[in-house]
Amino acid sequence: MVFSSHAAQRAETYQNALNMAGSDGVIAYCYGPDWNRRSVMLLNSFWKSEKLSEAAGDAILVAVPFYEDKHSAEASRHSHIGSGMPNPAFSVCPTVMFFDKNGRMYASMQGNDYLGTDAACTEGVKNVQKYLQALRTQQQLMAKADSAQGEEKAKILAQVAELPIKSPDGLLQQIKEADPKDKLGYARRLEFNARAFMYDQLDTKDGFLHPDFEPDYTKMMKDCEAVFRDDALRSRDRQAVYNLYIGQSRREHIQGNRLKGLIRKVNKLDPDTDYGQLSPTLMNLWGSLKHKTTPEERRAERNKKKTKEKEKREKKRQERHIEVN
Amino acid sequence: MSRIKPSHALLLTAVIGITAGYLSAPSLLPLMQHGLYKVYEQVEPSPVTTTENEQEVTTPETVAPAIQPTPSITATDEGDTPPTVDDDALADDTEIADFPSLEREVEDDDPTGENTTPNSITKYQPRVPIANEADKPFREQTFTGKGATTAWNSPKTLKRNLGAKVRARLKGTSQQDVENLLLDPEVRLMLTQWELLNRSNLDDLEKVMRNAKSRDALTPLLNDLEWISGFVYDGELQNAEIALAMVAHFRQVDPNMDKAVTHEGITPCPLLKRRVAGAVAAEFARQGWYGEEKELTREELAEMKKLGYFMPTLPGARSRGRNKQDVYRAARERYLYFAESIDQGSLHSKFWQLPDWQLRYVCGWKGNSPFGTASTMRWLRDNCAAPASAYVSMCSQVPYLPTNVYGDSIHSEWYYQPFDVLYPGNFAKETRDVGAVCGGLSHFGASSACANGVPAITMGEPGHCAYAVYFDGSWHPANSLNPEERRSPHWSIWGEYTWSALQMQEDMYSNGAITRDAQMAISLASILADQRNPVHALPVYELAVQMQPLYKPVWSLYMEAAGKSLGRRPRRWLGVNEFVCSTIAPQQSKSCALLLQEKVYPGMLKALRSPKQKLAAFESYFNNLSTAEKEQWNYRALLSMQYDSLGKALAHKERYMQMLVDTVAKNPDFGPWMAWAVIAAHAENKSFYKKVVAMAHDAVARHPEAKDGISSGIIRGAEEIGDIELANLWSTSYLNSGTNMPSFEPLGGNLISAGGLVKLGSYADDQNLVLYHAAALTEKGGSISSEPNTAAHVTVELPKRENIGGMVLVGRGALSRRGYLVVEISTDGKTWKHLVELSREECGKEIVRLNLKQNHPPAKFVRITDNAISGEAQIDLKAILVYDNKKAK
Repeated sequence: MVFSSHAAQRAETYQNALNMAGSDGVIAYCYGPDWNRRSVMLLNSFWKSEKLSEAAGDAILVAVPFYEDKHSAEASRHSHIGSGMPNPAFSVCPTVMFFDKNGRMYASMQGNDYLGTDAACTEGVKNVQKYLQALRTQQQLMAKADSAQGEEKAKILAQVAELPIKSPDGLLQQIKEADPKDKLGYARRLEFNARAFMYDQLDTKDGFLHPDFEPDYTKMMKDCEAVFRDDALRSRDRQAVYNLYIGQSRREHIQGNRLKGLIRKVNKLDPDTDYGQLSPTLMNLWGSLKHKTTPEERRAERNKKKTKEKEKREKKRQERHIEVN
Repeated sequence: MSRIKPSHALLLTAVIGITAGYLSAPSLLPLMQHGLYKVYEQVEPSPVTTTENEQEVTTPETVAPAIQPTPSITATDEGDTPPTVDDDALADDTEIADFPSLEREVEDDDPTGENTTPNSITKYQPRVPIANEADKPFREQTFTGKGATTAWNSPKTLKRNLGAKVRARLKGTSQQDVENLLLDPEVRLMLTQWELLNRSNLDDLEKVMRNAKSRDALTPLLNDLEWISGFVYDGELQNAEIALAMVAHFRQVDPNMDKAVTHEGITPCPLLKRRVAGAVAAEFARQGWYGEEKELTREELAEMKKLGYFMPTLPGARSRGRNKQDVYRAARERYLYFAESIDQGSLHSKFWQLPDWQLRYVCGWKGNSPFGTASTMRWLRDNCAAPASAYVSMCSQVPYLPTNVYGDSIHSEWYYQPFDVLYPGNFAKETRDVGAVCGGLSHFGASSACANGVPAITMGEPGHCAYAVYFDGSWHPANSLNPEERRSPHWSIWGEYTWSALQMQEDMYSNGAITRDAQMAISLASILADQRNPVHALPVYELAVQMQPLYKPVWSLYMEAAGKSLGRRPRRWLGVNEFVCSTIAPQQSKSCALLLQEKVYPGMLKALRSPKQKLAAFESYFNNLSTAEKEQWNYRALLSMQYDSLGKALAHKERYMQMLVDTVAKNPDFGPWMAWAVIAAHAENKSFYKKVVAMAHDAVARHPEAKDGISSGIIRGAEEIGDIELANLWSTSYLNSGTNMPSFEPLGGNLISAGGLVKLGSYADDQNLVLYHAAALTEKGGSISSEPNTAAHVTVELPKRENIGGMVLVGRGALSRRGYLVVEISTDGKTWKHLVELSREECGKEIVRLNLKQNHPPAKFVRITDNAISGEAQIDLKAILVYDNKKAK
């Protein structure tokens, strides 16, 4: 791990910290003095440790208490400490929040998954370093983008979007301005929403499938393949879209090697994502499924039913001479 | 004090324990002459007045062996050594006499059958706060019996002896006598031990206790008053012998159970782990939760068997295909999770101060759910620690996704299965990452609270799953879509699955000390009832009722003990009624109503002889109402029960209706009750119906501020019985609803729906919406809203039968959020003709015009049904406009 040569300074209140903040911004530790003992213990073993101080570079550190009893005397006495801090959506203790020098929250970490289980929060220290490094990179890239133009600028801004911290506000707009026709596909990459794509394919606004709905498998296959081939998109998004295709194929009674082949493609694209890691499991679960009807038979049956329903409804309306508008 | 020889003691106990409360002081003279009074001198003679009947007490045939001296309690300031009491006699197996017969004819307290003055039950005023007083010498430490370990070898004998010893100490059944008795911690311990035995399978318990290891592990707990009283009384106790075997098991796997755990900044709670063990065991034994893990392996089974305990089999274990030890393993894992969390101090700081009944909710959290495994709870503790009030929104960490990334529905087997491999043993994290619908969200929210030591439960609602979290002294619903009457907690420590029962528990425990006294009084009464003359138990049960009327089990026992005697005492019944109404109704109209319906009325309405007396009883309820419940509840059941009991004579019913109307006029929040009045009056005859409506008019004239409340009730009632005229009359002043109606191209015909009648399958929570039903049948627009998820259909009765030319439906943004509407017509309201089914696209519009171009079927009724999927159906329209096929005028 590479630590900064500087040790972080500490401030009494969030507002003071913001006033003192340089390019490394402010890192706030939220704890619950009257309800969460672990977060209080970590104040010493993690928050005030030398290792954290080194990892935090030039960031200003501040510990902010969150009281359960907000009307207690102690809570009132300490209310000024977090005053001015943006609504942190604080829900879990302990939490570490990262702010840039303008007070914009760019990252947060909550609970043992981020902090680690040991008293020194070794994992948490690593993450502080990681997020801070990402902030510095973000600042450098943004400065570089300021002096660039056109597609070059779009390319730099796209790198900013890939950092493991929250992007600056208006990043997408800046990319669109730099590459108005989206030749490089970065705007598409950021705007793509795999869940919305899926809901569109399944003709649902909220994820609940209509019992009468039967997707157009041929169209879905075509659309999913197109997304999967789009290199501009993130690999996890492409995998997600392809997962829908795999799931629908299974429902269409496609089986054996054909289904396994689809699963393998997801793994091949990026074996490290969660979807990539699931491939062996899916091979076991679905690769050996046996269906009685062929995909073609099933499709024919589905289309027949669908057409019949539609015809029935239309016929009824015509018979009754009802116009609906 | 020297021990008394059995021969003397037998006689002594009979005299002191049995007759002290009933005999006058002169009757003690013969005893004094026999030199026996020296033992009795420590017991103050009871001031109970002797009645003629009581002097007829016969001398018992057998006499008790020994009377226990006052416990030799030595409370030390340091609290190092717990005070002890000589408890050897617990092992004594000598027969002890019953109370002498006090059976006597209960006098009829109202021979006329017209007296409406209640023979009152006074509100319980404790002479001393018993529980607090009794615990005084033991604060900061625990009251402990000396041991008498061998006594537990034979639970049957022990139970008999405990009952006898308690009876021997009871001087009478007056409030003062019972209070005096309950002041003695030794008696409290004996009562609790007796109650534990009373709830156990004594044969199985004997097998458990004959094992030296388990007996040694359990005896300290069974002699610890604080522990055993929490274990026995703070929640339903079933399969007690299994729960005890579990606790013995916990003690062996955690030798540090009794070790004090202290953490800086947390108020210590000595022996917290003991209490946790009791809470876990009580719930797992009661519920029979086997956990989610696979069955025990052969090695694990061998390991369990090595422990050498007798582990009673949970009823039904075999039929559920589980090893009998599985339930012990599941409970052990749960106990160890909390023991570990206590050692680490990683739970919410309020956990350390939770009373036993709340510990039951936390530590007994669904052992049959994948959210209840130790590994899942560990992750929730470490990643979802929040202030108690924040748990109501903790469910929002889980994305609401009815289909997973593979397009598989939440209802299919494939929703989670592919992901299981990434989240071994951690269903909470899997849910957070993969998604869920209401059930997963609510279980996530509730389990995260329990895993962190905050009480929470999940609840069923029609087509939905919600949860509730306990903090700041009450239950708070979370992720809930329905009014409280439709919430059913999935589990409860008292085995009652309604929201109102939860609230009653909450109220009951708001005075925990009195509740505990009442529970002990019940145990005392049960000991008396166990004897030949159960009538002795009656005054003690009645005292327990007075102490804590919200503790429901006492009512059943009281009524049972009262038997026929209350049937001859209508004025006493009025007293019971008055007592319940005046103590509960002002704050909790619903809890009071439930208690009256379930426990008081069934007996009282049989006993009261005249409608006049019944009216007096009902008036007591109405007069004591002050705050209406915010949400709907089944008040109609109560009102119908009262009304139907008045017989056929309309004069009394008229008086009843007037009482009801006056109540609503004084408190318009009870407006919906008028709907019931309209329906009930309509069922009688036309003139009575008119009278009730006239009463409502009169009430509005006297109380203009109650107009909306009364009107909404009248309109709703009129809709339910189909009285178009009445509904429209009361809707006249609400025709300008101020609804923002979109413009639309008119259909050719004349509007024929105006002046019609709306009737919903279910009614929305906001009763005032009913006021704008009539407006919704006009082009000005109004509001027609059903309750979400329930009977989502609306019927419009047209003023007269006409040929339909078309319809315009106006929605609130869209006609249906999630479903598709079906429109039907009928000429008689019984046979329906399908007219049209609107597609999902059409339902997404704000306005839809149905133009019947050629056929113009006749209709008197139009019905619209939302056939939404997934239980999300709801009628929510601004207008239903029906036009004829004639040329517009």
